[in-house]
Amino acid sequence: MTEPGSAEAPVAIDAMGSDGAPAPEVAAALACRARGQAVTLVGEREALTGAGAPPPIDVVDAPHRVSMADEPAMALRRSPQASVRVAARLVAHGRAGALVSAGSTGAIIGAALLELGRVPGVRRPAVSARLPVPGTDGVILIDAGGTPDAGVAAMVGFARMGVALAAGDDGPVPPDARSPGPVPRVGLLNVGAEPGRGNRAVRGAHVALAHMEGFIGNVEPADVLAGVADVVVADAFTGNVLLKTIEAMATAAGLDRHGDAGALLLGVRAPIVVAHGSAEAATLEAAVGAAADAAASGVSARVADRVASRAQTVGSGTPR
Amino acid sequence: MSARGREEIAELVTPRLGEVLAIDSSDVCHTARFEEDLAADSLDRLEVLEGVESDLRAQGLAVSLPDAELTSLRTVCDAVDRIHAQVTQQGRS
Repeated sequence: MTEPGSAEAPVAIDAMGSDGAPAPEVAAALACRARGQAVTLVGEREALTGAGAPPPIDVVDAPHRVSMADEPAMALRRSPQASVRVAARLVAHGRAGALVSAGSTGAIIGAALLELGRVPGVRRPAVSARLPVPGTDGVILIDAGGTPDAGVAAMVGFARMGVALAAGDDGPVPPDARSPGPVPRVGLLNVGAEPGRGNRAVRGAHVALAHMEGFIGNVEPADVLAGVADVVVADAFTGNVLLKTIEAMATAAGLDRHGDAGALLLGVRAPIVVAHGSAEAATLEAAVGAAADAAASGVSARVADRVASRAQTVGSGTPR
Repeated sequence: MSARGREEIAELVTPRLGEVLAIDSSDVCHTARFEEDLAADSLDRLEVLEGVESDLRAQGLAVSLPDAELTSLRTVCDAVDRIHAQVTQQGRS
């Protein structure tokens, strides 16, 4: 049996996640298979067969699904065989190396926590999106859709994970974690630059992050688009509004977004890519590619290592 | 296996809660309210509950709290008491 997040194992696709499920998931699986990417579809077997998932696509039967309208915790409790939970279980057991789902983000996070487990020291996993800001390698927005009511401790964790992701694969973490190389610049998304701006959680996060290496203070949306920060920290409500605003502007400008590959969930023990509920086959195929790349790069383990090593560089005893 | 004492259940709940909240388990106050004091939502409570159930299963006790209990657990004490009651009931049956 392989370890969670193994690059050798197939990518599990939650086949009942998207708004149009399972047709886009099945089409994406067939396209992945055609280019040599191993995938496992997880969902209602009859529905998948009806949507055209013949052998050799591997199918794992999961008779239930979590809908966007369901309360995630209760739905996952009542339906241990829900497709997203079964798919996360496959990753936990090493039968898949990563997971792609276009379902409810709350359910994806819940399934990941229950089946895979969290990175130690992380209050809440977070969705990380790379914003295509000109002149940068992509500004990391975290949290772009996981925990709308994130408190201070959660946002400090987002900052740590974002830094770990932005730092990239630059070798083992040195004993002196304060000098691992270029330090990513971290901004806190806010409605003004002054430290006292924002709601209670954001003001608290500013205090907690004040001594974090690389922290540049509050940033406004215009600053984000100017690339002043490598990592932008936000609660998921604010982060998701910013992300969707940028996406809407891109769509209005006529940019092709079919290559969007979803967003990587950080803070759990294996790669999970969260795709839009409205995702079509091309988007899901790209998400599978991103998930396979994440598994191959070992990003989840790297983030866990770096979160642990950098924990001491952020103010301890952070309040909620 | 004999039914577990309440204190033994508390010793399972506390580290699970500490892990979920990313705090030292010695900082977990048993009278704390999940939502108001700990900012622990339903997903947090579920993670703790299923973690403790898993711990008990590893000790040979197949305990499962009714689903509806998930929404009615207000304090850490509530969680310990309900799980303890379930374990005790199981011990009798």
